[in-house]
Amino acid sequence: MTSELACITGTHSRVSGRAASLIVHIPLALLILLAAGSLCSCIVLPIPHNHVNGRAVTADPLTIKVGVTTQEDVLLRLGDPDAIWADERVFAYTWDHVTWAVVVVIVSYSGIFGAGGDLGASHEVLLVQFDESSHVRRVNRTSKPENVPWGEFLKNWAKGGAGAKP
Amino acid sequence: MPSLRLRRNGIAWPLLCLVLVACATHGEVAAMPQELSAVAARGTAAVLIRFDGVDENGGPLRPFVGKLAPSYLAFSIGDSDSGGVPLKGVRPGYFSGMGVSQYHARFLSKESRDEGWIALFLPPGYYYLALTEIYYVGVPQWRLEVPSGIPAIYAGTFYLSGETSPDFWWGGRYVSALNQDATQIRDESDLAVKVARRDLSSLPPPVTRLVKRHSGPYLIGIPPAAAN
Repeated sequence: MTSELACITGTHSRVSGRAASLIVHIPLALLILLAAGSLCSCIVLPIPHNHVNGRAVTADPLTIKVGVTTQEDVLLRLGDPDAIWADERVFAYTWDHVTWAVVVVIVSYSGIFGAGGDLGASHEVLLVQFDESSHVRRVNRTSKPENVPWGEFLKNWAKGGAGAKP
Repeated sequence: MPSLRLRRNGIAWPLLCLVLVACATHGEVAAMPQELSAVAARGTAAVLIRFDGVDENGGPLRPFVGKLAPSYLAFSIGDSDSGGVPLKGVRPGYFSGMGVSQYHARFLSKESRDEGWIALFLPPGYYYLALTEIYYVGVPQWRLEVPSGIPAIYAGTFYLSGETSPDFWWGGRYVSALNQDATQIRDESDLAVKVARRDLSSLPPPVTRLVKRHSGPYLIGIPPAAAN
């Protein structure tokens, strides 16, 4: 009985010892995991940026005179538009003004990888509408909201919306 | 615990079998009734396009033959909503239209799939195709014109030059690389009429409006009925 008890106690003490060692090892294992995690990590760096994607129209829209400037003048001054909506005789010049970029660095066991991209671009647009005699009817420089599809934006503008000016 | 395992298996296995059976038997989704009724109501047009070509060994490039599930030959479409830029990825076949695009590229039957035909159901407008699922600058674009009032259009055969690789997932080979600059557009109007008669019998014979290599400004709006 005593030996049994001793054995049981001994077993208990062994279990307790294992449990204790587990308690010690869990934080250690977590530390190892964290260390491993830090060896395979991802760093995302947003960087203030200022550049233009596409061909920015620098001409002042005010120099395009309604009823005076012709389609030919616009083409000579600004070049081919990015899009033409023939039904409504609209030329669209578009470019993106990027204000933030993001750099992603991935550190892993097999090496360091990097990638970059634009973030926070505003979609700038110059819209010029012509009348039947190919003279400018409306001109407007504005920004297209990110969540509005192009087609919808153009239709809205043609109806007189999207900050349109006569 | 065993009962839990049984229950889990009881749900999972029939579901998996169902999915596999569905994939195996419905590798292609034929045109939906609502797509055909939209054509009948003159809201959209069924646009037939064929993909054919040669592989690296001079053999026929059959991009969709034997593919039970997704096709590896994907392309992107631009429309008025994207300002013409081909930003909407389309993968013909079973997973067609499951990405950001609302456009479905249908295989109308097993025969037409194996022959390389797909069908798009498009409202009137200008569309821009690039033979890459994610568009990047420099890839040739092809302008597709869908005028009003034409229920079925044959937009041409993209004759491709590409490389194939073994397909470990689905068997056979798949188109792994395309020589984009070598792509030609061929006119197989007679074949298109036969395919339409077989697979789109409720529609009149397709009118040929071949895609054109695009350059310059994107055209937006509704193209004229007469080809230009």
